[in-house]
Amino acid sequence: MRFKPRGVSGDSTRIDPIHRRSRILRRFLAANSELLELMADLETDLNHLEPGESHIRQPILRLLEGSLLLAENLNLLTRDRHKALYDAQRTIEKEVRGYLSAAAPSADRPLVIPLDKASSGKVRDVGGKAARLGELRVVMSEIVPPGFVISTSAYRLFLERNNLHEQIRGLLKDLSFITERDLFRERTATVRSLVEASPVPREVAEAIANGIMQFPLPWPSHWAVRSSAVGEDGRLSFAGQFDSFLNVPRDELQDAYRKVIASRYADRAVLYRLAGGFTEVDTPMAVLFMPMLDAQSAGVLYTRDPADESADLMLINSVHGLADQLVQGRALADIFVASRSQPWKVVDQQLATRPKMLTTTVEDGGDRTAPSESCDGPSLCGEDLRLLVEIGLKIERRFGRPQDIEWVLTKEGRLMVVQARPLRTEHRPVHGGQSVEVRNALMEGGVTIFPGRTVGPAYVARTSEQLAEAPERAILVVEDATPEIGAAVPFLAGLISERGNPGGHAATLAREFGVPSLFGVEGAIDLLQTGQVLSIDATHRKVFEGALWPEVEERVEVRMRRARTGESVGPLHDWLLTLNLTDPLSVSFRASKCRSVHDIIRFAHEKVVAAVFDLGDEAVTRGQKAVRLDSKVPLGLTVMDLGGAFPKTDKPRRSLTPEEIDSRPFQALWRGIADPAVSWAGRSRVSVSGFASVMVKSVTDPYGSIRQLGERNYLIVSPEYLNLNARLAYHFAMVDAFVCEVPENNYVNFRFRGGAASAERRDLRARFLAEVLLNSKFGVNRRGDLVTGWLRRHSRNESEEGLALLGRLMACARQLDMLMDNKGALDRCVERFLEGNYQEFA
Amino acid sequence: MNGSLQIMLVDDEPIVGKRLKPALAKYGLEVEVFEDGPGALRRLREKEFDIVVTDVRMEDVDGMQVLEYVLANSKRTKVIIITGYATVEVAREALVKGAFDFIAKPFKPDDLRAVIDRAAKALGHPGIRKSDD
Repeated sequence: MRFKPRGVSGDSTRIDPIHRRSRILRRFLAANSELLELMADLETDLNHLEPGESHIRQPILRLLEGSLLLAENLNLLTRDRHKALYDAQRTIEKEVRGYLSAAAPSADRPLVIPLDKASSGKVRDVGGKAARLGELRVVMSEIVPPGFVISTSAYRLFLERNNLHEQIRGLLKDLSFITERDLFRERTATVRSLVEASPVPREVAEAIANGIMQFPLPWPSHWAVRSSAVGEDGRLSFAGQFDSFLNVPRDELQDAYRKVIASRYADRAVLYRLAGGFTEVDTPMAVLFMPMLDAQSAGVLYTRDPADESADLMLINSVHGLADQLVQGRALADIFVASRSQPWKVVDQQLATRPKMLTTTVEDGGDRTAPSESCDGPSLCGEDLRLLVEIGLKIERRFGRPQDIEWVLTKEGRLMVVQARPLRTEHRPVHGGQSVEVRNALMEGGVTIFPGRTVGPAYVARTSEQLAEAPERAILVVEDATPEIGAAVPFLAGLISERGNPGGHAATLAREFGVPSLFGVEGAIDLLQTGQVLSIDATHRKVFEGALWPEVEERVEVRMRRARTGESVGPLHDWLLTLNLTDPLSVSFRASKCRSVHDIIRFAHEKVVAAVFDLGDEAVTRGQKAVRLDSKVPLGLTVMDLGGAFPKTDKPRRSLTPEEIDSRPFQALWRGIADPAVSWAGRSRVSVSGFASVMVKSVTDPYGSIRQLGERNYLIVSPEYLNLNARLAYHFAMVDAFVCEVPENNYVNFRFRGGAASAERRDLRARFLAEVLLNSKFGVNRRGDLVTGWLRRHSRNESEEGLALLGRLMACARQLDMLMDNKGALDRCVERFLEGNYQEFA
Repeated sequence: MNGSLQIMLVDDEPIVGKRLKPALAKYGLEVEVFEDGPGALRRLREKEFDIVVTDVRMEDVDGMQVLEYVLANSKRTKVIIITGYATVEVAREALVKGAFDFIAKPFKPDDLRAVIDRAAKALGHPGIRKSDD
């Protein structure tokens, strides 16, 4: 794609004004389309790449150049009526270029950073986990073990050297977990094996070696290798979403590094990012290396009771040996509840019986599970408990909020902290001192993980497959709260588990997404049945049958909507892709209000089309200005003649019938639109982009208000040319065609991008269009939900057939959302359409 | 893991092999000694060893090349590097290339036994004991 800054002024002034206009317009529309395509690409790129990378720089510069060209063309057409657009463009360009030059190429950043030097200021280099730990190590070096971080720059280098960026993007592109679970799993597995098969670049291997060599001799022989993603432990915790490896021998550290990186593409991690609205750029991966501690016991400390922040209590989970079984939710822990304030005491304790522990005895070669006689007693005793509470309070003071701390008690009796992150707690007062429900509870008991009430149908999942099928808004009932449920959590109404620890990852996720949850509800999986409507009062640990609190369902809905909407992905997105000028009728639809390249494109398009109409008035003295299209198919179209398409009349007319328009491509398109087999009947007002529930504003539409039903949609015609443009914010339907007797000159272009539906449905719609077009001689390109189809150099007949097909497609595609909700339905719709059976779409 | 551990020992000073082989055999280890890199590489093509102990400085083929060859062909094999002069560069290189450990000359047979014991355990082997124990 190239934008040649050929101004309109280059054209000879002697040229027939009609042709001149037509040429300007066609060129403008072509550039406009290309820019929109660039933006669609960039939208994906901004999610995957760092701004410093050339993959992103090039299209951005082209976008800036292209927007300037649009501004120029517009001003040439309007005799500088929109000069303010230059200023707006200049401001945006300056900001963008400034940002790009400040984004240091990742090559300049260090690959290895000692934990002592990792602090929150370096979070983009070292990730969340390492940054917090690094900060603690500076102030409390005696309780935080030393270590080193292989930075996010190393991660990028790893991807770059192995050419993984493109491959990963290709594999994850357009993936839908809902409609193609197997394919989804297959693809993420492919990504992981790609990563694991890629050599660690020499520089990264050296960085790991240098990290080890910062330790005094003899270098530690066994290490803990943990993920530390950017964004991790921040807004969302990513609890348990990435793998950590313990007891890794020194000579296998490179392998472990690769495995941690690969875990970034575990199914649940990818889903979690999707659900949390995270983008790939938000979450590059750093990896933290720490020598293994010889653990006597380990566990998790919550400096507040997550279920009731106001209580003056700390919660301590503890197991013999390492804590990984505990956080995976697979081992039962001893639970201690301790008072936070003096005089310090354990107010409650619950000892678990455990058959096994994960030994860490380095001399034993590490990673084996072996029974140990020391398992019999409690895993933590008085003095250590007291020390732990003190440490917890100290760390909490340091970070200024309650903490979720992973700790280790070494065999030498030293308490060490290996992770600290903000604890999600629920501050709201528990409604009433006691449950007001008089009706008998179906089940009672368990541990409150996240309090509150919820209502929904039960969904009992006994296997991973069933878990993957968990529907939105369900109350998930499982035997064990493993991190595997992470992907489902954001969309759940509630969660009941027979097992699982309050300190586990699943619990963290439930709190994060505010899902009322009970763990330790024995017998739930057998007693509760899929489909049974339940009401849970997690605060009072009661499960009722039936829908007790209808107002609660609404709250669930709001929460889920929030989980789905992502946030702005940064300043580049704001300056390039965000559309602020959404309403052409608004007073703020002005050149000076353009804040992004997208605004400039939108504004210029609107004004160029208007200008061409005005020019039409000037140039064609006896011709028609824009007229309404009068037909039984109520499309609300305003038609403009580029010259020769309207009947010659003495008196200007306000409307024309389709038959009166002398335009080959239009007649062909109309043949499809008005095909008796496709029914438009009964629809009093149908938008021209009928394709398009684009007319309907959706909750997921980030572009705000769009052109309303009944506003003008433009159709521009000449005897051989047609441009139908229903341009709605970022969502648009466009047909652009030139049809004459010379095949060499003929083309039909079609472009569609639609919003107003969930990502899943947009995806299905795009696929439907793509498949129908592909099966109808069209060349097709689909990027996300942008579908481009074209016929080039086809005979007049074939081109007209193509246009007729587009017409029928417009009529049918509008019902698609109602018809398709899965891949099977998609295939059926494509088949029906191609057979010429349009009944279903009526 | 059962069976005796298969050890390759590569050092171009003949005395090293002569002293170490019997000392290690006492622990039930099967040790093959090579006095040059090319000879060791030829043997490595035929047989997979559990542990390879190699001097770093040798004529023709040095210890790093042996290390690279071993790990390229058998990821599970543990390689222990003998260095006559412990420099930072050698150490870094060995770490980068994935050596299991180092041992600096001069060392006692018992020092090497301890390193081999660690490598054996990393392989999932219960560890080495004197065969007459």
